[in-house]
Amino acid sequence: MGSSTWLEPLFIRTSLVACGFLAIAYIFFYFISKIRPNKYLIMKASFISWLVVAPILFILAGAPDPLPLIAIILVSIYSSKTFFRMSGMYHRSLFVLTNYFFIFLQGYFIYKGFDHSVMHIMPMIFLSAICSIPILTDNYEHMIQYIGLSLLSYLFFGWGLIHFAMILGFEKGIYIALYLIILSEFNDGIYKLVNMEWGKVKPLKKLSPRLSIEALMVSMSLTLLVAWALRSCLPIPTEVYWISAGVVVSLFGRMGSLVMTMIRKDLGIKDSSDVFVIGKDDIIARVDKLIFVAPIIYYLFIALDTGFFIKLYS
Amino acid sequence: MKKEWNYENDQYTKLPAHLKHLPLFTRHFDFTSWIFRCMWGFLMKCILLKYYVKVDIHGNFKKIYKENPKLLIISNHTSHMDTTIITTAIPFKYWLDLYIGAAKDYWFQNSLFTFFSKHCLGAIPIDRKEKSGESVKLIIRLLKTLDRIWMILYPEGTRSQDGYIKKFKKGISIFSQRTKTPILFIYLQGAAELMPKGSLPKMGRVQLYVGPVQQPADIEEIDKNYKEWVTSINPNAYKSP
Repeated sequence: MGSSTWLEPLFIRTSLVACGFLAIAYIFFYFISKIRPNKYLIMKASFISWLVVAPILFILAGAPDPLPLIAIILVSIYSSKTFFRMSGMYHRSLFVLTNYFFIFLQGYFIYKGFDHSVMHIMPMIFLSAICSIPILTDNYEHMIQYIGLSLLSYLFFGWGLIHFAMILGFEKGIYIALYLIILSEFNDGIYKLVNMEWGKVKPLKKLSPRLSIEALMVSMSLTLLVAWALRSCLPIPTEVYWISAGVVVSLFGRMGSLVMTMIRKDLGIKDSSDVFVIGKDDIIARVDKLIFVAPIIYYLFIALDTGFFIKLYS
Repeated sequence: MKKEWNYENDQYTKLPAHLKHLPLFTRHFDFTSWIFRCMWGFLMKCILLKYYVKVDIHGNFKKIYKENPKLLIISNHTSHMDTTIITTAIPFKYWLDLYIGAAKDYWFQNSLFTFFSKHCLGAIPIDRKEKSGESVKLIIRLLKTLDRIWMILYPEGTRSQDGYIKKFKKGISIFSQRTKTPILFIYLQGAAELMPKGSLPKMGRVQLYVGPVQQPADIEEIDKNYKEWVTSINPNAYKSP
């Protein structure tokens, strides 16, 4: 086992700032929900949920290796499981187990220090593996559906989320991961609040009638402010890193959320509440903002580190 | 011909959160439930009910399980430990077929209780206040559709305050007669002293008696037969008139 980061000054500062902010926000929404219960009860529930989850998150994040990696793998598997249940595929055991196996395999590769470039070909290997299921079982019925849904599940919650584990391998990796989680949750909270109070221009009438341009703009601006304030979590705290992190979290975090809304609507899910995640819909409602953010930040930071954009420009 | 995808996700889309664990549309193996059931079973069987509260089982569930794939298990109800004691007495391999009728207003009152009731107990929420009979319909549906189900119910309706067995409510005979499910009698002696209503469990010993299997009948007959059997074990189980 590696050493823990619990006692590092930066870790203590980051966790205290995050938990302190959550506590203040909860007190604010506690009082405001008494005045307008219908409007702010969900916000209050969301902050209660984060007051429970945040300490667990920080304990796990600061734990010695490979515990943070194991936690990410378990979240990936649990999210996949929820996706399979939502899409009615949970009893198609071969597809489900293959998915779990590949998530575990990726975690094992990361733990053993395999070159991260192996992850680039994993989706293709996964596709080959699930395409062999109809051949091995001599079956063709609904196989396009099962293969398609398995591939979606794997790309979102297996391959996408596992980039968080790969980010852990960066210098100050655990801080980058925490930085992204804090930014995305802050962005989501501000987005919801602004949407409720001032959202007027709503372009997605069918997909997400509540989404407003005002909320997107305000939440992105404030997320950039927090990205700047917490920039000490980044290995190189220059403008290009914290601005790109803030923009990616704001835009692609929202995109992840919208994609999951689209999937839920197409699957006909109205009540997706899951008591395993207190105060939220289900585990997917928690991780949806990260499914695009994790891989994009991973490749973006590598590109910035290696001067890819400078080479491209010159 | 247009061929649409069939998602088969009724279990997830048509049921509210507190019913999603019940196999009403698809009977699939839930790994989360299994893990938490195992952990709970281990905690109860190997630690709490071995060293803290000792349970003496008089009778054998194995033969009954072989002969009765569907069964309503009824018992006197004096403490929150009753369900735990009965489930612990039943061999673990039968647990995934075991369901417990639990008051929705108590066992499903918040997220944590719901999680525990769903995954550790396999509880079926019974709404004691509703008039529409949804809980009755739900239990009847489960008893009719599942191939194997053992369901623990407390025909007194609530825990006894004084430890004496009260008159049975008619629900148990409705379930039994409408679904042709036999009833297994269980009697718990000593649980009231260990954890009376409103207190924490104390150390001690409980006697669990496995009784005869009663065929579907009216509530009066069930009540009479249960009383006869229990008083043959403990003449003071009922309050003298």
